[in-house]
Amino acid sequence: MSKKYFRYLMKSFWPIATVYITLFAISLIAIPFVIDLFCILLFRIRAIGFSSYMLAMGPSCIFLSGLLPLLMHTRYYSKNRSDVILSMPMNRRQAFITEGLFGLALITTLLVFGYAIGCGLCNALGNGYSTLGTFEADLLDLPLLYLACLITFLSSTFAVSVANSGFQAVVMILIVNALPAFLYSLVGGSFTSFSNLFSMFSGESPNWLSQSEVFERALMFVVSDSANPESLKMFGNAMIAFLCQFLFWGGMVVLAFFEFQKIKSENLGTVIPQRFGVVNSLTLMYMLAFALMTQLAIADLSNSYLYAYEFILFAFAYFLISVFYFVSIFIVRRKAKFRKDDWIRFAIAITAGIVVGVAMFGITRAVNPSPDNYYYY
Amino acid sequence: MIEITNLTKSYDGQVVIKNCNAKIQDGSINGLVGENGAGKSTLLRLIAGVLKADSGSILLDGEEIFENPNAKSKIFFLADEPYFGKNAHIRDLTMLYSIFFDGFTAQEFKKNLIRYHVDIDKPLNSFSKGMRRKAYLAAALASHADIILIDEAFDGLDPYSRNEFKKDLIELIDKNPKTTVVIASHSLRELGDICDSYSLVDNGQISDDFVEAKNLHKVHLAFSDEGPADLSALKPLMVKRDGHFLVIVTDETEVRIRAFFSQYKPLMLDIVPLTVEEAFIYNKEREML
Repeated sequence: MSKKYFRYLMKSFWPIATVYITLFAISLIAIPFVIDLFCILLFRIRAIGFSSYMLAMGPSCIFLSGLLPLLMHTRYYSKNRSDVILSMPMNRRQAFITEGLFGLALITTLLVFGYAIGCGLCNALGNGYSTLGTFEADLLDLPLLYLACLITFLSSTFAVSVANSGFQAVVMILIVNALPAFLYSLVGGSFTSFSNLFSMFSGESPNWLSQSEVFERALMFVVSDSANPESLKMFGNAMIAFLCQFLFWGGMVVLAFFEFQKIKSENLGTVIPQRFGVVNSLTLMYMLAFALMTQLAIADLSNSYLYAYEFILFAFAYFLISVFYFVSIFIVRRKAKFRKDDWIRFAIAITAGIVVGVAMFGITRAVNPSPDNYYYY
Repeated sequence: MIEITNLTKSYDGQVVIKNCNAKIQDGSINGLVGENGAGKSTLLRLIAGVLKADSGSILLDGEEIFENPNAKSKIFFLADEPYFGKNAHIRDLTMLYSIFFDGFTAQEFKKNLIRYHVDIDKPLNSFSKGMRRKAYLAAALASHADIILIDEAFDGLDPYSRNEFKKDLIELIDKNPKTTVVIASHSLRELGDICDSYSLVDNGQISDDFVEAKNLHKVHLAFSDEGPADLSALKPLMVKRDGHFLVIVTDETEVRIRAFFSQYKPLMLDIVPLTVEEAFIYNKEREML
């Protein structure tokens, strides 16, 4: 590690980080409240609990981790920037390790901060850990989230360090942004998979299934009990979930391609930070649709209204997070110039998110019109 | 001393620097000249350790520069368009350089900025190109690095600032005889005022003898009449007539030049050295003939 570079990052980055952490804190407090309000108005129940809080915090942390290398003004984004940083007395490995450690420190701060806010928020509302099991589940989700954030940060940094052009760099950032979110979704699933593992080890039967478990069980059913129509249904649903994830990946590539066809011909040093907010918001919107589709498949699969309920929260959290990102990036980059078509596309993405969200809500209500059946966190 | 041995660098298969060899002596100001795209900036980036060479070596006092923090700590590199972030201020430059360069003095930097009429309270992106350049040059002078590499040193500078900077560089070398400055520039007249030596980067090769060893001569003549009409025997690269006065540039030997004009009995015949700019231009023209 280069101590000098670490000092430089500390001194130069903290003013921007302070703005971001403040916005992050506001969103962490605001999003659960808005979700709660949403649920009170529509379901006449309260939603705030640690799970819903983590629901809001998880994707937010992951995407913030992916953005950190951009915010840090690291050395890679343009030839002009690398001229400054790479000519400093340190070698590339030192610089990379320093940036990694700096990111680690920052992500740790963010998560501890976020977790502290969440605990305080839930306890203050008298609506915190209803059971020890829930607490364990959420607590065990944190290392997973931490790992996801760390992987996102390091892979974003690495991606841009090896990219030969702005086009490559941003496409790689998008992919590495999505990868840990995807894994988190796959492994974390309903945010209780660790709890399930815990339960299984302790001999209890698990209550909920994560997506990977669903897939695994579906395969086992098909192999061992292919004549059973229920197992086939389960397998079919697992396939839908799996297909959704493929669609998500394909969509990411298409999105990246169209987005950066424009960028690649422009001035790399100034364009990327200005347009990245739009790009990330669109990515989040896409993730919203992905999350909805996957959750829908699982909801049907597990025949549990918990998931039907949860995916609405999940969708709404994504919607709020993407708005938050858009606004915060706009604030941080005051001079960002959004073109007319950027606004139009953003509006379309938001509208699509709302339409999909409302449609999903309608389906859920149609399946289960009684609010009493919803799980209360 | 910087010693470049068998250096080769290519981008996407296109060779920019090809098996080059050069030595840059301590305590000198060296001009790096060449056409656009000749590889001057690439060469400076290689020396600064920003780029990795495909093959060959660049040694500073016997030490490899690339990935060597010790060697790099002696080098201050100012690129043609350094990027310091959208909202960077002078204080950010001060912070960066004072953290990385032990010899960098904030006080001297500030003094230079004031002398160059740079507003130290405004962000860099509010400056004009020339004003930004002056801020970076002020930092280079305050770095006290052993090796100062400057790409497009005079780009965007007004005549007054050019003059000030040239004086400052000469003063810097006087005060610190070990300091070596390498400047890549198209402002050959400015280089001509301050450089001790020049290197031409052309077709991926570096030659350090293009000014002296090419046997180019610039001849100033005055005649009582209009002088010789046909100068083709001297194969002139440039002819300029103004009444009874004649100026030509040729690569003939001094003896041949004097012998040719003696028959026309000139009132004055003066063979003067070419400026760097002239040497660069006429060498290029001769190559193209």
